[in-house]
Amino acid sequence: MIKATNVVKQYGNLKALDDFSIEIPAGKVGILGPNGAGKSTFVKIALGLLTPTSGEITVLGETLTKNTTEIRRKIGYMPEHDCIPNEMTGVGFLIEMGMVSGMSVAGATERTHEILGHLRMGEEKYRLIGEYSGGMRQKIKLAQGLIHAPEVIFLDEPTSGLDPNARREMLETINGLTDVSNTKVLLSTHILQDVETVCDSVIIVKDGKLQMQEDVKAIVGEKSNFVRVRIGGGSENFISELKKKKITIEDDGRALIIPYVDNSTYDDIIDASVKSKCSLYEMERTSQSMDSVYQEIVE
Amino acid sequence: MNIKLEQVTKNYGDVQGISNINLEVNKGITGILGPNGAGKSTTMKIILGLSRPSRGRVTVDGRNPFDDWELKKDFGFVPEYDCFYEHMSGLEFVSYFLRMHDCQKEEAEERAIEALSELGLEEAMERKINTYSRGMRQKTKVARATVFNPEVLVMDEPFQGADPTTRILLMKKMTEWAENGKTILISSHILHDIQSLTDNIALINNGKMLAHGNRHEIRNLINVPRPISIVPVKDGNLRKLAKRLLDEKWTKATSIDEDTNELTVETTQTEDVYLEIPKILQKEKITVERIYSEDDSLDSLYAKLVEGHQWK
Amino acid sequence: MKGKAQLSNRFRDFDANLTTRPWIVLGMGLRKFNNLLTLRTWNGIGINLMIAVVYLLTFFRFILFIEPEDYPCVDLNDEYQRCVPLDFYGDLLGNAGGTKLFLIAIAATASGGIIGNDMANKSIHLYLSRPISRLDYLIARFIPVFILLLLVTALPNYMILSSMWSGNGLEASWLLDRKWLIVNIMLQGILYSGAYSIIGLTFSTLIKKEGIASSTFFLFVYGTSLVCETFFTILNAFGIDEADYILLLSINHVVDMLSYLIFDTKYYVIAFFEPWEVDIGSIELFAVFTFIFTGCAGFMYWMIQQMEANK
Repeated sequence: MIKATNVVKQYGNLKALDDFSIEIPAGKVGILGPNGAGKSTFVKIALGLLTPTSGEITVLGETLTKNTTEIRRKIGYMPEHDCIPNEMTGVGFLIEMGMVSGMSVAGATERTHEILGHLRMGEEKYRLIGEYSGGMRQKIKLAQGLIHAPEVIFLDEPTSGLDPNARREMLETINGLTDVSNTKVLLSTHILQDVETVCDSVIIVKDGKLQMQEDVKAIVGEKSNFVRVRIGGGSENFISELKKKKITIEDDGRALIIPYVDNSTYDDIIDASVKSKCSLYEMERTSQSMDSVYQEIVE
Repeated sequence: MNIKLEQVTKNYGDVQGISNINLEVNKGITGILGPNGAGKSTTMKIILGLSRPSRGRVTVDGRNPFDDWELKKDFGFVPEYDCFYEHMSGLEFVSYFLRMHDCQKEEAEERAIEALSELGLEEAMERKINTYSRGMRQKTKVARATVFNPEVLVMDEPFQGADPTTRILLMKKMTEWAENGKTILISSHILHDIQSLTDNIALINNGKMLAHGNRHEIRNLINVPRPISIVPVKDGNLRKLAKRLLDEKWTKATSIDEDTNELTVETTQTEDVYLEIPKILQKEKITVERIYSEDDSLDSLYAKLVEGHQWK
Repeated sequence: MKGKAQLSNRFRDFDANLTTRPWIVLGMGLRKFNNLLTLRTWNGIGINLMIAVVYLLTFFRFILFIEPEDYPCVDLNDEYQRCVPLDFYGDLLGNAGGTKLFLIAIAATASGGIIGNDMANKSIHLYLSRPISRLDYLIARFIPVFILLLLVTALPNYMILSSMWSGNGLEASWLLDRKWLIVNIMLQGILYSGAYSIIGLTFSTLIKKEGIASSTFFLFVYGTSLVCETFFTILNAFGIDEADYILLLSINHVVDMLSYLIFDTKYYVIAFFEPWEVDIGSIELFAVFTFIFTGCAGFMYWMIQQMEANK
């Protein structure tokens, strides 16, 4: 989808991107990294808004050299900050954006209503954007990035400031995007959980360099050597039952952490809960979280 | 500290803030959840004594926070919006507030440095705030509150816009402070963060308190069948176990998912079932590697409460 | 009805069918022009009223009261001429009785928010993420103001011209004899419209608040004009010849001088009821004008460039 070779972007003394090479596969890709790691610089370069100091970048099979505006026919962009005019109606603004992308009035209108329908916007689409809630504004921002049926859309913090329901809706929409359309997704976010739920693969950038590129399933699927157990009733009996089998237990106040040896550990736990007459709410071998992977790489 | 709200109502003119809220918060971390404009910030302001309830009573350790200035010294507040003097450095900003509270210059500086370093701002604290990233701004706001070593720390969306490193650090610090006996109230839209911080929540919607307390206990109060999922180790046992569980009268429905090798039982007699399942597994000699319920996540609980499943 | 049951593919088959850049830019410009003339905003109402005033002035001051034989120019004396197309751009209060005040007010109102609003609500980021370059964006924002100003510069002048033509019996030879006049009126219209739109756009880029940008633009153009003219007369009264150059500091006067140059007429400033001759070489004039024009365009381009790099 996007390929960068030895890209350097320099602002004065500051190297926003330092010999950055990457090959981003098609699909839903998450970009993570601390503030100022070079994420947005990379996105701006891929959009053709900035030219790299050196290096080469290929987006959707086209090498970005001088004629960088053409690539934006195939790319949609949803910026992080609020950037939509209050004095236009949702529909009016999207049609304008479609036409600025080069669509005809009829095409833009048709597409606007199609997308807004998909995003579950009702009659409020005819109202002024100034009257919209945060969730609706975010939908308009997403819709303007999709209006010209791009092959890729860059999403910059699409869930920031949204309340839980609006967040879930937004994530579901993004998640389904590759199914209902031909648009691939590049998601830049600070919320690791979002990457876990939405993305197929993840990229971690720090200090202008690529630190990691990995399949999300591979990261999250990797199991640790502990089993997390949550029980009801008196945990003392349960703990002493396990202690009889020389199993050490740690209590973090919310759940019990038991070292995993092999599958017999599970049987031991079941056994202990039967003997101690404790209800067993949860038993699960813990797996590596995105948090721990991120921390390991960034710190 | 013990925070108690009894039938508290707060209106701003004809705009509803919160209505008839009862809430009791003790030491440890409590997450305040709810949609935008539900009344979370109003609740926080009332607890902090920043606004006076239109009706009802609020007490902190039996005292009224609205006019008890001694009590207010024990409060720390991290507001949602930035309220900086942008031209100051982080260090100046934090020590400025100390000096407003009759602290000598050297002492103020020392304490400010300590609070800022605790949050990993040693290197940035001399720089002007207008050069700070979102994460650093959030940390500075937190440091401004914690520098007074408050007993009650109220944080409105402290993770908003913060990068993962900041988020992880703040969560670690909050857990530490809570272990030291502080009372921490935190609102966040990212339920996953609250879930990993605490089991104690208060959910506000439309100015009403929908539920508060331990989230597992709250879930048990909702009388909607709960799905319990079991993942056996060997594939062959999936259907065998499903058949076995169908024999139980508490089973309302079962389903299996061949792809994830997962069996789900739906039941209303939750407590009994949690006791019975281990017995059955033991008797049938089926090893399972995972028992969980989708309903245990805060996401699911939140959705159920906001959609009003508890009243069905 | 017989047919196979079908499920539609939601967005997969959508073909956006995009046009080329020039059409996008032109379309953006024309839609914005249309927006400027809307009667739904106070700005739009103001612009429409001022346009009406310009046409009323054109009708009552020029079309009704100019004799066909005095068109386009009459000799005042050996040295000076009075030309109708030049008078049209004169000050309302001077004996010329022209439309300048409204012209500049329209330019100020129309251009005030044209880039500034996009910058203030940050939607400029969205425009720049479209398949147009930064320059395309600037051109697209220049077009509406430019067309609007042509509506109150070249168009009314042509109306005067056609009224004079009809006064002379609508003869083709009359028009043919004045083919250079027709070209000059257009040139002059483009000069005024172009100059004021680009300066208005610059103020809009610099000041992101629509109302303030408009009033600053208006006060700047009239303010510098008044100050320069005052100094010019004072210095002239003392008999200092170089005083002419002070008028180069006023955009208003530079544009006027160029417009006199187009009509090959001697430029003079009326002060104390007397014409004062201004003698500045055309090369200097062109240099100053090019400097202002490219300076403004360059500044705007730089501002937009800068914004993208920082955010």
